[in-house]
Amino acid sequence: MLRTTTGVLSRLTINETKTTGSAFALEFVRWRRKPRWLPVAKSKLFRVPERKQQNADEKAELMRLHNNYKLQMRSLRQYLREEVLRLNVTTTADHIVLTPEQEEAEFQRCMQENEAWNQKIAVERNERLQRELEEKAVEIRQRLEAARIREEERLERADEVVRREIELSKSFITRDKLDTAIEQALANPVDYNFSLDLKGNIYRGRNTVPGGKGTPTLGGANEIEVQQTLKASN
Amino acid sequence: MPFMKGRAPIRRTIEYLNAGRLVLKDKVKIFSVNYNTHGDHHSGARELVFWNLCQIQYKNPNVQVVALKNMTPSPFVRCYFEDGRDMLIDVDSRNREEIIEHLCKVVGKTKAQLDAEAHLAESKDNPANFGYGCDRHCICEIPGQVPCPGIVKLPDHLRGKFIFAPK
Repeated sequence: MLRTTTGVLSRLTINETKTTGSAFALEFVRWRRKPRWLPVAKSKLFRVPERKQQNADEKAELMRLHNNYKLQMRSLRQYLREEVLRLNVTTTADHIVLTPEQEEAEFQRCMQENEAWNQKIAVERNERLQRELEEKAVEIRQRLEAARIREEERLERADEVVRREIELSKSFITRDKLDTAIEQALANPVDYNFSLDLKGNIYRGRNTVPGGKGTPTLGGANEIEVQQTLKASN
Repeated sequence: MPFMKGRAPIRRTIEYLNAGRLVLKDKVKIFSVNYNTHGDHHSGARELVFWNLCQIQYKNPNVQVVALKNMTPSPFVRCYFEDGRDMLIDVDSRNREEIIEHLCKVVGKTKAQLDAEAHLAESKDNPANFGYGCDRHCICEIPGQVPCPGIVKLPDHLRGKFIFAPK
């Protein structure tokens, strides 16, 4: 129960004593406000407080005063804000302000200095461009020369090929020469056959026997092996 | 951007950004650099953009800093002023240090101006300062300091009357 919370009550009493500071003014708090967390009392649950009727004149007057106050405060704040802005713009507290003439003179001085710098660079650039142009010209000339030499070599090689072909064309078998060529071919048969022994000696011809015509000189070669190889190849 | 990523992350350290020397004049509103990504005579401008553009932007937060690349045969810096004029600075075949030096001379604030401004800004900002235009009028307003002798008499051992008095 609320009334039995003696601790709170006694503490309150002490505080009261302290604040008043006089034993005569000692006052016991028996009733005080209900704590916030307690619900509405049962007896007051359905009580609807009556709304006080305000006098119309009084209301109008209060409204007028209120409006006046609001308006004045608003204009004051706006004025102060503008003043701060103006100060920020015109203040010289954090930067140096030059007169327009000084500024212009400074600007002209910088411009002239820059002009001199630009002139100097322009001269150097022109020299560089000239130099690069010459280098480029030399390079182009060299490359043209190289291309010319390459072309000449190519023509030379082509001429060589043509000359060789003309040379070769003398031995071509034409329709006129066909009979002669056939006769000659029949008269000189060519035998591409050959055989090998184990030492890698080549024996040209189909019917060549070791020691015969076309036989490589065998320094003490194994005769039997050669014979066998020949037999196998035949 | 992660701190230690990319090329030369030192460019994003506060020490490096603060070390920039070029503080542009108040009248400069746009700072543009034109350069090419190739070519020997562009190398100074290229290095300027790589190493110093961050510093310039950091030191001049109210200036638009732009780098335009591969649009010009010859590199240049162009500064646009408040009043619509502009200054064209040729930086062909110049190295980074020369360019910065020249820019400081031509479009940057002078050393004296910077010092004065730093001094003014400091006296405005620093709560330790006292006197005209500061938070407090006199150091004696701080509790624990010696009160002004005009209001409270100094202790005798601090008064010339007693210090220099013949014994």
